[in-house]
Amino acid sequence: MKKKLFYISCLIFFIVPVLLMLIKSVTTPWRSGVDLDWTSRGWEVVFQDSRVIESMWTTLLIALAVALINLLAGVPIAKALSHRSFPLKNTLEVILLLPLFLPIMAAAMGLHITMIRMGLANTWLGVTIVHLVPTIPYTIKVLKAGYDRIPQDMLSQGRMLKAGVWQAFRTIELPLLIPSIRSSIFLAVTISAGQYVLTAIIGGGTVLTMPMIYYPFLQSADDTVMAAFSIAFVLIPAAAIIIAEAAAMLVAGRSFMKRRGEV
Amino acid sequence: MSLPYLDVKSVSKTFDTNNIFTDLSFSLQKGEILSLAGPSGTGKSTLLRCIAGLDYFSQGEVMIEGSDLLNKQIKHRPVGMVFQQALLFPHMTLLENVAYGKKLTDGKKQAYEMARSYLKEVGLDQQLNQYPHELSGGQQQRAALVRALLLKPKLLLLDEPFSSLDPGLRKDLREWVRAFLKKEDMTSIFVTHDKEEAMLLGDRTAVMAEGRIQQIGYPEELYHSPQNALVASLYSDVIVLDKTRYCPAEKARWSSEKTVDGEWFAAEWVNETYHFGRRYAHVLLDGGGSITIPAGEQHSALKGYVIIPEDEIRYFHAQ
Repeated sequence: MKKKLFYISCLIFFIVPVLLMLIKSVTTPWRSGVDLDWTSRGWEVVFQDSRVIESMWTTLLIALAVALINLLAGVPIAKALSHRSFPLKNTLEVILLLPLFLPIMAAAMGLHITMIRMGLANTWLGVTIVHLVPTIPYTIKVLKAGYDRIPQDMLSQGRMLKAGVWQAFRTIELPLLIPSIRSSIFLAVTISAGQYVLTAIIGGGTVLTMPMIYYPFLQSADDTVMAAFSIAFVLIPAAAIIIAEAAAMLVAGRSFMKRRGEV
Repeated sequence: MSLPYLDVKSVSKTFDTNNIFTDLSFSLQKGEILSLAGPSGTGKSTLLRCIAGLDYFSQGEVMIEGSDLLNKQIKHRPVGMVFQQALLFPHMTLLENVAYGKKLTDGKKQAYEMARSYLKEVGLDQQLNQYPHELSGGQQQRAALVRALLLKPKLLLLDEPFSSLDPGLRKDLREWVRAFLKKEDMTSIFVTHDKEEAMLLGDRTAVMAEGRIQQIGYPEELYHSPQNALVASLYSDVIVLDKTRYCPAEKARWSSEKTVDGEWFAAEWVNETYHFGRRYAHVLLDGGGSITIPAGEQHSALKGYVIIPEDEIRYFHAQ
């Protein structure tokens, strides 16, 4: 029964809208009583604009960089929060979540001045750094939950079996953390790829990501073009996740694949 | 006299300002198994973790085969450890789990070969490619033991390895573990809070309580001549009368009347059980505390007296 409900809601809320959008991107706006009018105009308009391909690359690279920094910072912080006890631990945990409660504009304005001083305004690096503000708190939260599921003694056991810190991380922690790592990459990539305000302020219009040109397109009010553009937009997180998974597979090796098959 | 194989010299552990344990000393001969018994929260596990290198002593020295253990990094300490849970890595097969440590030091081929032969010996060769969740609790714990032994440590630490298993399995496994450790001639320290388990597994037992080793010796010594009230109540079946005197529980008897030759306690008969053909009474002393004594031929009575015959009263031999 539950499974049925899941499939039905999947169909209604996910598969049908996506299919409709796919059809819409290759037809002119449909009116009742008229046959579908197939056209490739939507896709042509999107890819005729040379900025689209360029911004797709920029968005992808920034999203991947954001995801990578998220993991590099998130894993040690999450491990400390989950497996160690130190004074003011709960306070620190709350502080690390605070960026989510701060109005994004307030953070952006303050950071903008700093970025200008440091010469990072209007650069992709600046944009990458500012995208950490809305992503790192989620990553820490997700990875901490992942570490909470690994008993501390299991890591001690690894050390007792004479694994060094890196060996233990690669062969025990990483494979067990894969589901959490996958979620945090997904979150970081989609959040980063969807940022408009932060990118606009820090990137100053020179760093062109997909949202930067998506919104102007929105004004064209051409449904066919918009549908094609939206699908192109979805390709970015999809590509980022494929790349991230491939990288994780290289590091964690076979155990990574096995975890997938097991579920 | 030959030098002890393992020599633990007056080690202490302080956490913040609390002393977890102070000035513990004991030594083991090669192949000897020491049971470390005592109530939970007395630092038994902490002691093991400090010897293993997962924690640090505040003071003291540990020598193994004449060389200092504590200045070695955890990676280079010849010490293995089995935890309360089997802690097999869930993403690896049984074979990969058991070979894990050996693989890091000796390479895959040799590790797998050795793991296979050990697993065959302990009857787990049909499960080589199964994942931990497919194994029973007893199989998992056996695998954990083999995994630790594969590295051929000089000292094996076992931290209540049976506590997560059900009683029947526990019984089978502890006999098997003792036989296996003896066959491997493995010097071991085994932590438990169960006195029967301590007697069954260890050659000698150290009773640890209140941050000290209260007494260390063979089961017979601990059972028949406890040094103080703490050891008596933890390890032996006695009725502690006061700080200096006790009476073996088997010498006490139940009576519905007071007596003149000896001591008595007013008590309430709660229940009775049978062990090896004898009937035992579980009684609740009016002054607090419950004890088990031979019930004799007496009919159970709700109210009565526990009689301690005068000539059965013994004295603790504190050293």
